[in-house]
Amino acid sequence: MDLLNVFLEEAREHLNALEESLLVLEQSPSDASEINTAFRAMHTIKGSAGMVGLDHVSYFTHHVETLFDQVRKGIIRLDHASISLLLDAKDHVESLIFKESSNEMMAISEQLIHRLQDIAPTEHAVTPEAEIPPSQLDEGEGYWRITIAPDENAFVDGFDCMPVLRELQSLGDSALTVGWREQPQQESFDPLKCNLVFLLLLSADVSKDSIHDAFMFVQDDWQIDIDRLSFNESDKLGDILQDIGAIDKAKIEAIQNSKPKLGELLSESGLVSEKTVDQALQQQAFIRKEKEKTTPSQPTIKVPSNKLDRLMDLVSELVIVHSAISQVSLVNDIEALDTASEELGRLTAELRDTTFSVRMLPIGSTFGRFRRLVRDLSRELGKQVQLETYGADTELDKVVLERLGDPLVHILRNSLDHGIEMADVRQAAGKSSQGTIKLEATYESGSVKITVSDDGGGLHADKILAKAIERGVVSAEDNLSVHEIQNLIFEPGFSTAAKVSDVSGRGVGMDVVKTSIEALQGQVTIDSVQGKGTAIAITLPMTLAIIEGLLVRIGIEYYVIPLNTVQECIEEQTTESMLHQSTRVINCRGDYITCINLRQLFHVKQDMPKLQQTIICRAQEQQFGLSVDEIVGQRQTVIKNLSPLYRHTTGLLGATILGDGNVALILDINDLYDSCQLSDSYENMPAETPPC
Amino acid sequence: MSKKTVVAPKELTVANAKQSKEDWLAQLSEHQHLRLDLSEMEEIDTCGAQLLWFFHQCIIAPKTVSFFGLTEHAKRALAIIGMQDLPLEK
Repeated sequence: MDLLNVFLEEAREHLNALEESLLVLEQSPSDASEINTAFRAMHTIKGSAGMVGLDHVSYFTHHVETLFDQVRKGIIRLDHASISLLLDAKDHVESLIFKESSNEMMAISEQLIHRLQDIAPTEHAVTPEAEIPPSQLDEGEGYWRITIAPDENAFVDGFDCMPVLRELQSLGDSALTVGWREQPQQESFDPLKCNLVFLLLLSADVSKDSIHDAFMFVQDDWQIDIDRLSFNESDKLGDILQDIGAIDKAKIEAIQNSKPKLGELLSESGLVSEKTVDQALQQQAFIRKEKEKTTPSQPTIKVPSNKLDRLMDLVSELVIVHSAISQVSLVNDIEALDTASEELGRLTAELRDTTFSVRMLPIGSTFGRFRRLVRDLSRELGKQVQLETYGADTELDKVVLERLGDPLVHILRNSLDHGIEMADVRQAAGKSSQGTIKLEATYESGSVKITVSDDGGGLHADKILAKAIERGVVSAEDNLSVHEIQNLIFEPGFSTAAKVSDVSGRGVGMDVVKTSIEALQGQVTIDSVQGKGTAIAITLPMTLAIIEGLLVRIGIEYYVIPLNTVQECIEEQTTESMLHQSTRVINCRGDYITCINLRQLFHVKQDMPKLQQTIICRAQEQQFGLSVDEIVGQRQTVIKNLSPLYRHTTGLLGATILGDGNVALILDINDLYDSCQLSDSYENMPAETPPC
Repeated sequence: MSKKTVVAPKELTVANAKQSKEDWLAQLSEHQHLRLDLSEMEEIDTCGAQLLWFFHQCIIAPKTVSFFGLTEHAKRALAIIGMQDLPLEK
C-alpha cells in the first residue's frame, strides 16, 4: 500500500473515532478522555494530510484542532451548538479527503472556519505540534483508590450516597465495592444510620481536585481518602495489603512460605479481616484489568481484504481435501494413513478457526454510524430519541458485517420515523417524552442475533390489514392472526406511512431488509405490541464461507440442510399417497406441519424406500418439514457458488464437494419455505395423515 | 419450612426504612423463610438499599431471606452503590 492509501485508511478510522467521541461529548461535555481522543484524531489527520500533500485538509483541520485544544485547556466548554458545528466540520473533512475538491468545497471550508473562529478565536491557536510534550496529551491520566465512609447521620441529614457515587463513576472506568463499617446485629441495627463504607477504584484522566469536587457538599462530614495508584502499581495481593496498611511485609513473607492462596491464609490466620482481603482482591482484579487495557497492543499490520478472502478460499479447499483423505483412510484401513489423516484434520480445524477469527470484526465498529444517524434524524423529525447499544464486542464475519449496514439503517429509520412518537403524543400516552431505540447484538445458538427495539407506538394491525387488502396482498376473507398481519410489512411495496417522507415511507424498506438478510442466510422476525413498541430481530450466521450442515440423501443424490435451521428428525412409513404429493401436512405432536417432498421437487427418479425421514426445520418463525430417504449425518460444509445456470433454481443456496468427490447441493431453507407457502397443494391434505 | 412472601413498598427510602425493617423482622420471627417481592418498588435510596443489604447479609441462620422481582430501575440504583450482586431467586 502506498502512503496515500495508508493515509486514507487511517483517516477513515480517525474520523470514525472523532464522530464517536463527539456523540459521547454531546452527553458528557467534560469527558477528558473523549476530548483527548477527538484532539488526537484531528491532530493526526492534520499532520498526515500535510505529509501526503493534502494541504487544504491540513489547513482546515488546523482550525478544528485549535478548537479542541481550547476545550482541552478548559478555555471553552462544549455545548450542543458547538458539537453540531464540529460534526459538520468532521463531515467536511471527510468530503475534503474522499471527494474531488471544488471551489464550492473551499467556500464551505471558509464558512466553517469562520464559525469555528467565533467559538475559538485564533489568539488561542494550538501549540505547534513540535512543542506539545507527549505527556501533555495524557495529563491527569491515572488510577485512583477512593475510600468513602459517609457520616452516620447522612441519611437523616438528607444526603444520599447515590448522586456522589454516580458522579464519581461518570469520571471514567470504575469498580465499586460496598462493605459495613461495623457488622450490624440483627436486633440492634438502625436502618437510619449509614453504616456503609465504599471502595471505588477509578481509572480516569482527572486530577485529585476533580474527584474532590464530587464531595463538595459532604466533605466536612464524610471520611474520604483519595489515593493515586501509580501506573506500575503492583497487582500482587500482598503488595496491595501492605500498601493500604493492613499488614507489614515480614508477616506476609512468613505466611507465604506455605502454598495455599495468600488471601485465604491471611484471612484464616486472623491477621487481616476477610472484608479487607475481599477489598484488596477487588483492587487486584481492577489493576489487572486496567493493566491489560493499557498494555501496549501487539504490533499490527494492514492487509488488503482480498488477500484474506483468498486465504479463506484456500482453507475451504483444504477442508474439502481433508474430507477426501479421511474417506480414503476409511476405505483402506492403513494405520499410518489414519494417523496422518487425523493430524491433518486437527491442523485443518485449527487453521480454519484462526482464519475465521482474522476475518471477524466486532459489530460495535458500525454502532458509531448508527448513533450519528439517530442523532441527526431525530433532530430532523423534531423527536427526542436516544439510542442505546449493547453487545458491541459481538463479532461477525467482515462480509456479513459489511452487508448488514444498509438493512440496519432501514430498520432504524423506520423506528425513528414511524415507531417513536412525537414528545407530546408520548406524554399523552403516559410515556417519557424521550423515546428509546435499543440496538443489541448477542450470540445465540451458533448464530448472531441483532435486535432493534423501540418503545414507540408499535404496529397498527388494523391499518396494515386495510392497506394489504387495498393492495390485493391479502383478501378480506383471509383469517390472519395479528402476527401474520405484522409480517405483511415485509411484503414488497408495502407501506402504511400516512405521507411519504425523506426518511421512509416509500414502501421499499422492509421487503428490502428481508431480502438482504435472507441473502445472508439469515432470518428476520418482528414482534410488536400496539402502544408499547416494536422489536425486529435479525438472526445471522457468523460466517458465510463454511457452515455446519446435515447431509441427507434422496435416491442417489446428496443434499445439505444448514444445521442451524434443523429442529428434529422424524421417521415415517412410506405410504402410497406420499409418492404423488409435492407437499402434505403431517401431525407432529398435535401441530400440523407442512412438509415438502424433495423427491418430487427435484424430480428424483429412483424408488422411495419403505421408511421416509422427515426433517423439521424452522424458517421465518414457522416449522415445516422436508422429506428425504436417508439422514447421512452432520458435516462441515464449504459453500461453493452455483453456476449462473442454477442460480435461480428454487430452494438452492449453493453446492459443496463431499469427501468422495461427489457434489451435494445445499438447500436454502427460507426459499423452500416461501415456495411451500406459494403452493396450495397442501390444502388438499389427506385427512388420514398419521400422527408422528 | 414456613415461608412468607412480603411485597416491598413502592418507595423504600429513609422515610419508611425503619418501619419496613420492623415489619420484615416481625414476619421473620414467625416464619423460617422470608421472600421479599421487589416488583412494585419504584424508588429506592441508599438508606433503602442498605436495608436490603442488611437482610441479605446479616440475618442469622436458620432464618433466611430471598429476593425476587427487582425492577430494572431499582437494579440500576443498586448498581450505582455497588450492590449489583444482590442475589435474586431464579
